[in-house]
Amino acid sequence: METVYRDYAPKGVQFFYLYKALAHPELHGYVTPVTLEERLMQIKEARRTLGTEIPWVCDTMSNELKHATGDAPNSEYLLDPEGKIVRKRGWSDPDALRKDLEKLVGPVENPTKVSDLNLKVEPPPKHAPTGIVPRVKLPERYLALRIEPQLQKSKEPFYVKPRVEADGNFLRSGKGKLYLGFHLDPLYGVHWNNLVAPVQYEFHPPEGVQISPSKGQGPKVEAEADADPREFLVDADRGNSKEPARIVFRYFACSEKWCKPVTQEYVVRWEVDPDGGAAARRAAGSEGQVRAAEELLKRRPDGQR
Amino acid sequence: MRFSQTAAALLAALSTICVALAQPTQGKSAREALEDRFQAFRLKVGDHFPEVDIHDAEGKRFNTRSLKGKYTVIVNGCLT
Repeated sequence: METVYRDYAPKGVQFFYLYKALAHPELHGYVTPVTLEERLMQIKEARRTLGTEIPWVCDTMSNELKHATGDAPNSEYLLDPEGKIVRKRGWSDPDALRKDLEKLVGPVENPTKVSDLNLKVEPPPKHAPTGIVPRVKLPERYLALRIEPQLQKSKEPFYVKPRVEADGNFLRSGKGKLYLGFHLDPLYGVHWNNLVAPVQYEFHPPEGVQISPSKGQGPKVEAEADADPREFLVDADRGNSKEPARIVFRYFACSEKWCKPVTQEYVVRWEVDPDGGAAARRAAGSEGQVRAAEELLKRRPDGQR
Repeated sequence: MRFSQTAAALLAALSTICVALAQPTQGKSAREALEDRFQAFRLKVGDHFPEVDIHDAEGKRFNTRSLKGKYTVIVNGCLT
């Protein structure tokens, strides 16, 4: 795409990458942003690590444009000057796009090749060792639940992002397992300081909802610092309740120079987040499990088709 | 991941940016299945692109209707 941009931007064609919800949170440690400012930080990071020259624009935090244009993670639209769709592809195809532009705008002498690009690419950030705390292994694909950060209750950025996922049993019947993960956001440059208190969570479920254990804390870790997620599996039975639960979590956010205690809250809703993506390490599953997960994704928030 | 491997992986991702989650259906590859679903979406060739208020990379709001006046390419992407 960058080669097509180099050749056709000078001919007056506009190019944009639309930054939207992460398709694979946790890959290289990147986590779902909770504010527009954090999403804009991720755009800067995308420019830095991918070396992109095409300008980025940013979808709303509710991913409005992504939803309005078909919800594909890497779709491509070509519009004419009146704003009408000339071509749409579910998966961007720069070679095919080049052929479209050759017809609409004209061919290019000496088209740019990928080897001509020489883009400045940098590695993802790493602030502390990983691979120290064993990861939770899930027997099947879990789906992300919709969670809402209570931004107004926190003066600090959300240095740590929780992720809540449910297994198929919970999504079908209201009774099953929930995955709860606390992931450091690498864009804040923080790590776990294992010389201070570990992360703690507390579920505050509404009446009729059982979560067990409703409280927990991270493990004791010998290494002084690490950047592994802190993960838990809990049993959940929401009965007939549709009311959301609150999670309060407490942790120490630590950089090279400071450490501060942070308490933050989320509201967890008992519905799949269609923009939750598939966590990189937990995306695996048999084909049957993945199709079953997709069927669950199509259900209405109240669990009905 | 070593830097050289990281750079190679990132460069390979430049033409795609994000990995799709499409799963294979009968006799079709994951990519073909995703394309089928996408082409069945209500927005068709010849329709006007949706007019939505989004943001530029500095956070300033603008409406996608302001993209009119030139040929425009919009590709969905993200870090991962």
